[in-house]
Amino acid sequence: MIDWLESTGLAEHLRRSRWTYPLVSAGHLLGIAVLLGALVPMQVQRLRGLDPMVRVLRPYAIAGLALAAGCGVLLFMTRAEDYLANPAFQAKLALLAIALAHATWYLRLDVLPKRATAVSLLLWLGVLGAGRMIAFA
Amino acid sequence: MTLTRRSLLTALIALPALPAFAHHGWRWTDDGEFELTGRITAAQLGNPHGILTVEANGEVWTVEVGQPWRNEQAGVTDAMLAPGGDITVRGHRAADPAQLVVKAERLLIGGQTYDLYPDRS
Repeated sequence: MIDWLESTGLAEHLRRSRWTYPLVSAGHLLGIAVLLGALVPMQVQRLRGLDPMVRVLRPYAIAGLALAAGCGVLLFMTRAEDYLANPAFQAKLALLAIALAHATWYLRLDVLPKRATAVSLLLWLGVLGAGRMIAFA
Repeated sequence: MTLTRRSLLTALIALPALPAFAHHGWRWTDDGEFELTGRITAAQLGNPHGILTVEANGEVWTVEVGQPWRNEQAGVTDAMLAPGGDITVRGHRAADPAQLVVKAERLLIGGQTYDLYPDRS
């Protein structure tokens, strides 16, 4: 499965391309920027007891997540085996799974408890931090 | 929360171990020209960075070569960088003498010179 993913024409193209890979990499960063750019103010507003502007910010968070995840899969397939063996990548995936489960669980509540808000913030920042460490692990 | 903390710790513990990650630019390298001759024992080519492991004088060196477009522009094929081949690398080594890392400007393979950075002397 992993071998197959790495051997697809798309993975091969991404590994060899001059422009596609950096563009996909930029798309991944843009997705992260939009996700956290929406999520951080939303959760900080909640922690301060102010209007989190969920109606405005949540769609951006979800769109950013979709872009980051889509581009992330493309980056992953260029070196799937290496990434799976990378401890920072493993930590990132674990944190991402917890963050997604946490978000899904609380999605139906409009008023988020402060504790859950802080956990959400820490989880997503943890995903960011672990993701950055992939290149250094 | 405990699980979160543990995963965060895992990510942090991974921090001090910095083996073969590639560097941007040249600021991290020593200014003096450096040459290394040895045998390629491993090659990880492709985006975002091309990295060779080269055994030279009983030491294991990490050699940063180009991305595919740069290698191609210099006339270097993946086959030339395959493990088992002999290579001479000219470029700059890490300024930190403890690091056996060199970023290549030119590669000598089979008596032929390939210029990865024609703009750099």
